[in-house]
Amino acid sequence: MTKAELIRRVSSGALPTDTVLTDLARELHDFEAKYHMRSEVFHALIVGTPAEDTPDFVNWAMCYRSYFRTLQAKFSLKTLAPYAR
Amino acid sequence: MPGEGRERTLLIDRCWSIYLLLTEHFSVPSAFHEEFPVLVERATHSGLFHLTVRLSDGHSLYIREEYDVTGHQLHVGSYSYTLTGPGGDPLFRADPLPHHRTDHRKRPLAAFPHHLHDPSGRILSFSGDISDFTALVKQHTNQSR
Repeated sequence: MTKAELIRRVSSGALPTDTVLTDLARELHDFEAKYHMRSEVFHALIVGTPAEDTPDFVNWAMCYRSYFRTLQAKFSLKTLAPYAR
Repeated sequence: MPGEGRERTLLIDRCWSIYLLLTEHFSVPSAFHEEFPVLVERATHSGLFHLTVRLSDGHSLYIREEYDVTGHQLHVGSYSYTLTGPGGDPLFRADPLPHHRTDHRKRPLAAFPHHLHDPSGRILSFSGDISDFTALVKQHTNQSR
């Protein structure tokens, strides 16, 4: 694959944001089921502590932040403004 | 957000450098080339690049990078690089979580907060550069042949 081909395929727009959100939500759910802990609780209790430095927890924290980042991009301030009235 | 203009370009550049690094140094399955653009497009939405590649000798390499863009620069905010053995056993893992200041011999980490976990669970210094991790992977997989 060439770089031009990569750019062309990435720019095709074939992957909707909702699909990305669904995948991230599924991954979060898998972590939650494995550790019997909601992601919000995990983030409040584990992230930022030495316990975070395990393979699953590093990945869970990144997935959690990415889920919010993707949501924020989908629902921009402009989109949400009408609901703030 | 990485999905927009300049940020998107920087993110694709970063992913392309990872693609070159992997394809130049390892024998990857043919499906890897098909899957890679989808993973990059996903990263343009989420700011998280997540790749798993099974190497020809049965080892697996996991790469996760989380990106921040400030000005005209893309930073790898957080990452996790992991090598597992053919049986799925964790071998080496690198990350930048700031919970270790010294290696297993109590020497300061050379590039804190970047560090490496070895197969014995010991902490070692690590540069934070993905090419140093893939060099380690190459060295380990060559030795285990």
